[in-house]
Amino acid sequence: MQSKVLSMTETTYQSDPDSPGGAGELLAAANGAKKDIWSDTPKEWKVFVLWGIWVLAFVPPFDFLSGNSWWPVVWIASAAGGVATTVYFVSRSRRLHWTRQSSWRDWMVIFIFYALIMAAAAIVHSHFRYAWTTAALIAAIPYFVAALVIRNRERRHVAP
Amino acid sequence: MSHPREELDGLLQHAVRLSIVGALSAAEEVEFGYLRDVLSVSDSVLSRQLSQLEEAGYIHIRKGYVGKRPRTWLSLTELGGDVLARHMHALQEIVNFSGRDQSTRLEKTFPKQPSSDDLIRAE
Repeated sequence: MQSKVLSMTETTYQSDPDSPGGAGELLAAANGAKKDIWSDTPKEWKVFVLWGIWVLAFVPPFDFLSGNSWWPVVWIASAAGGVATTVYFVSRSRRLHWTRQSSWRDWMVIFIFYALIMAAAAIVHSHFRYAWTTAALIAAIPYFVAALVIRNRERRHVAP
Repeated sequence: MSHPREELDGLLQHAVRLSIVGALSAAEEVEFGYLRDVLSVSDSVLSRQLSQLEEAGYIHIRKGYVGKRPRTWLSLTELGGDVLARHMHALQEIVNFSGRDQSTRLEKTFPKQPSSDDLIRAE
């Protein structure tokens, strides 16, 4: 985590910014510190990608397994995912507060879309063999789109 | 043409102070102890530099709590962000400027020699 650029244990550390070497050193110091902080900032887009993968991994098995046996697995996995997401954000927020690139509204909109698609799959699955797989593919799209949008925002506004 | 050094900010010519504002530009708020560890400086060094930056209006210092523990949160002000951007740009210009300057000097010292093709054509 510590900046590899320079160790600043002295109070008087001062480069000559007028010389190209000094200017380069100062630039490296500032960029190094920024990168260190940036590397510890939670990456919201990664969380969206992981939830998209979660949908793709845990919904399609309903087409092949009995609902009674698979539901408990889905519940446990979703609870574990929720806890992991919370821990990821809360643990980072003890040391720094980052510029949020997504809001709770984004999460709500995506979750409501997901819930509607799942409800539709539950209705048609007895008539359509791959209803859950199709539903998972559709429901995962917003997660990946959101991840892409958020990643671009981060790169544009904050990333070193 | 003015030299980019004229765009440099006096306060940010100190590596620790520049690193502080550089670090703060990557987040909305950074906790004091965490910043101290990132920059590998002592509490007193960091406090001293922070006071100067706060006095200049480059950073904002907020006292808060995480649970029951008191925490000091640091953030970059709009002014600090602007000054940092200008300063970094000037530093980059100095690096580039010296690169251009050096190649000009090299050309004067070692003027481009005509190639063998040029000599044949001249004949």
